[in-house]
Amino acid sequence: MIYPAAGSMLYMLLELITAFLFGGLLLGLHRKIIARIQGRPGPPIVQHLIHTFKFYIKELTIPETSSMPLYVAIVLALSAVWVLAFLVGPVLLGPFSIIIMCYAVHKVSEHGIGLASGSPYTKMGSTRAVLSATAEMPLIVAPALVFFKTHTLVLSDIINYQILHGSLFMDLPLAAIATFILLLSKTPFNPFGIVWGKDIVSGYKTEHFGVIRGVMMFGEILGFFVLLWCFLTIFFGGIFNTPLTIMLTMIGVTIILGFICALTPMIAPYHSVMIQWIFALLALINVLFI
Amino acid sequence: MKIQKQTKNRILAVLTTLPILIGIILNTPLVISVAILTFFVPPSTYYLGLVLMALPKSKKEEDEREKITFTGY
Repeated sequence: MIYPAAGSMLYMLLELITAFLFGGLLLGLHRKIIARIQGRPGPPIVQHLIHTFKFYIKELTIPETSSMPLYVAIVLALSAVWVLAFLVGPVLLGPFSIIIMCYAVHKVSEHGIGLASGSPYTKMGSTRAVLSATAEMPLIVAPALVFFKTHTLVLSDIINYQILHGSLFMDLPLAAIATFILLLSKTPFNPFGIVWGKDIVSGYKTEHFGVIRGVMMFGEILGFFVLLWCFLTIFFGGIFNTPLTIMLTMIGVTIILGFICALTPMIAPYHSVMIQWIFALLALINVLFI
Repeated sequence: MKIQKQTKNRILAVLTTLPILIGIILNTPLVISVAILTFFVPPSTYYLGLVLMALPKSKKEEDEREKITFTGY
């Protein structure tokens, strides 16, 4: 069988589809673990993917109060942002700074999705998205520390550095923990997930159903995959540098995330921000080890 | 002449999927490939989804749609 050359569009498209399927299975596993810990049988592991595909054949309803075409365009933007982050990160091992920018635009997209529908619940979700954006300090602190340690933010160079000098986790453990908290905050049912809080129905996603929800879930699955991959590559790049080891470790980290999400209640919005700030400030202690 | 919504969605599905297919066939340079995938994958999934959504799922549903005019979404 002829495998497409690395860097060709077919190769990137196949990688994209693989990441989407694998990311969907990871999120399904995450839900299964939460259910088992809570004493429920839980949905099958493929449920998250089935859920995404199901939305593609469901009727699309657009609220009268929504602001078209923003209602559709902002969801497409959210997906596009994660497609770009995926191509720059796991596929091309390019600059991590582009992924950080994608993440920032993703927060703006969350805000826009909430505002576009006109519902008070989604507006509250979008307001919380802005509030939670202030809690993304680990995203600034961790790459800054990695840069001062390795003198590069290009992912391939960071991996090479770790192959020569050992994993960055050993040098920057607190930065790794802060990034893990950031990863946790992007996992479904997490204690910091104030933007999707059930007290505001489903947060900014409340009014998005049908095909548009399917596109949104596609972007979110890719986003989860990219963040998980970045966490493992930046801090454990010296140990896990083959696709198989990375996939197995991703499963392991997803299980840990599932345990945390199952056993931790959702905390209040201001506490969510405060806790993430504390971890970011703790990460600064790592400055001493550089 | 007003184009029907379903026809418009089909045209847009083809238009958004075509650059990806052309990119695969012509083996475009890396930067162009990244740009095409970033800009065209989300809208193509959206419009293909819209086309899929509007397809009748069963014979019964097809009969029902013939009775009541499908007004769109």
